Amino acid sequence: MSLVQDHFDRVLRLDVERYLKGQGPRPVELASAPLLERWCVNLVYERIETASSVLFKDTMSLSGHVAKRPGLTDEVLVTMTILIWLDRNEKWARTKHLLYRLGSRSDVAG
Amino acid sequence: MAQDVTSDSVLMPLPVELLCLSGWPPAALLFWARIGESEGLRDQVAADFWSGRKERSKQACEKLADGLFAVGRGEEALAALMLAADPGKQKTFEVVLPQLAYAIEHLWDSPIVNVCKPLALRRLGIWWRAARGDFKDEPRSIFYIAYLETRDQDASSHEPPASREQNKGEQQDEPTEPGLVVMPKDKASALDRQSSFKDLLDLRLPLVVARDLGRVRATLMTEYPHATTAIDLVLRNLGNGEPVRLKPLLLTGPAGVGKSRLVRRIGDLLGIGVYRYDGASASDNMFGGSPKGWSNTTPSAPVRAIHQMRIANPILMVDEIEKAGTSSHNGRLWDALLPFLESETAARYRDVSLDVELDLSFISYIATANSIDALPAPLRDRFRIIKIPAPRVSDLPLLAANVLQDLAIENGDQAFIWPLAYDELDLIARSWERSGFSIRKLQKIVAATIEARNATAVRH
Repeated sequence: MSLVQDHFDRVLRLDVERYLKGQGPRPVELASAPLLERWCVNLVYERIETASSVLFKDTMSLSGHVAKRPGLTDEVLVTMTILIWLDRNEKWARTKHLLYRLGSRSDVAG
Repeated sequence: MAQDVTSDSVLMPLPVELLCLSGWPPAALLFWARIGESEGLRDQVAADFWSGRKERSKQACEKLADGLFAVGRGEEALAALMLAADPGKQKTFEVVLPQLAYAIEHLWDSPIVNVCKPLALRRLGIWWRAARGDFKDEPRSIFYIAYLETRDQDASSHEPPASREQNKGEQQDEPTEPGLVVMPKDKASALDRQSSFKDLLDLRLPLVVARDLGRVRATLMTEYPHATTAIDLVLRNLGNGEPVRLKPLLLTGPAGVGKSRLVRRIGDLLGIGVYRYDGASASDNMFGGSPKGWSNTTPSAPVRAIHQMRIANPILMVDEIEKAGTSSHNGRLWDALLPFLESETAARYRDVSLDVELDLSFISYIATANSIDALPAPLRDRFRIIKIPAPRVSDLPLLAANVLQDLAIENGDQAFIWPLAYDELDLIARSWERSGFSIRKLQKIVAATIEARNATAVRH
């Protein structure tokens, strides 16, 4: 496992532990999180390759549109980020690597 | 003491316990018991939560989740969201399933969780299918669906696979299950060849091993919400995979709180027979057996228990120990009990009837008593005394639901029980209060309520 991956995993773990204590993301974290517009949740299989076999694991993915730069309108489609924690009031979501603020929801990807 | 209990419950996250249960009602009951009353949350939503209507109780769950998150109890909040999950609405899974899967895989890894993990993960697989919409048209709860879908696997994987693998190695001769020779031949030379107990001679009897303590605890907690501390005190000497062996315990509490039944349930759930010795009808020292010289000689009660159950570590329940006869003319039960309660003496106990030395050190003694004032001090010292308090009104929803379940099983209808409505609970609470919070009374009151309900129900 690469160092970067390791770091991401550790941060994720700390975040989820905090959420489980009832603390959501800190305001400053939220403020700097990218805003995901027209997002939706899909059920996908995550492909995990090990030395001897390939596993498919049930996961949910978060897709949506993120502005390339804050304040600009050119958006890119973000897909297949593995969802770890969706806030139940749909204000924010934690994916495997990033925290997103959530904008409007659309149930059809694209 | 209270500290111990909370640190115990930290070991087993509530969501994992819920996954292992077999339906919405038991899951809801356990959840209800575990969130406790501390924040006053229960009062706000009780009517909706127990309304028996899917939508109303779902909203109550969501409200509870908000409240629990707000006070920093995220695990319980997650559990509340689990209860709100509805196979007909896939979106309800989005806010609970990813975090649940992550936490089970990466966060919760205490030994006790690992015991339940295989089952929890199998059940979780069904939850994922539900999130995909596989059970969209199912009216039943996801808990029950998951239970039904994994039931076949559960039955086949019940025996521990690890022990078989170990056996492949060099330990070929080792028996796989722990056992104990209660009556070694070299110490039984005086045994009467006619004795019906001679089949115990040099026989290796199995020692029942404690398994799935998390589930045992969870089940007991829902059945005896008023005795949670006592349950933790009883179970904390046990270890998963170790033979069941309890220090002598004395359960004391007012009549009718379910002491004897609790002992039986502990035995049932651990897979151990409970041998009952009635203290109230014991006015002599027959517990210790009668000497060999007598024509119809009887061995001591522990030996009879082992002989009857065919295990080396049965539970021996001395019921109503304080009611035993106190005349010392024929000996007293209290004195006869003493040698068995010291494990060193019990390991080399010479039975007066069989005239052989026995190893009775693995027997667990649990006594029950309404009060312990009359008991002699040496006896009191040897027992660990655990108080079982009378139930409170706040325990009523759980207890009433248990009684309801028992009634349904009695009537042969296990699938679904319509929960008690809030006004019914209110009525029950009032008449129960009048009768002094006895479980026996509660059974009668609930039965009468159901009868009244059935008599006045609108049929169409």
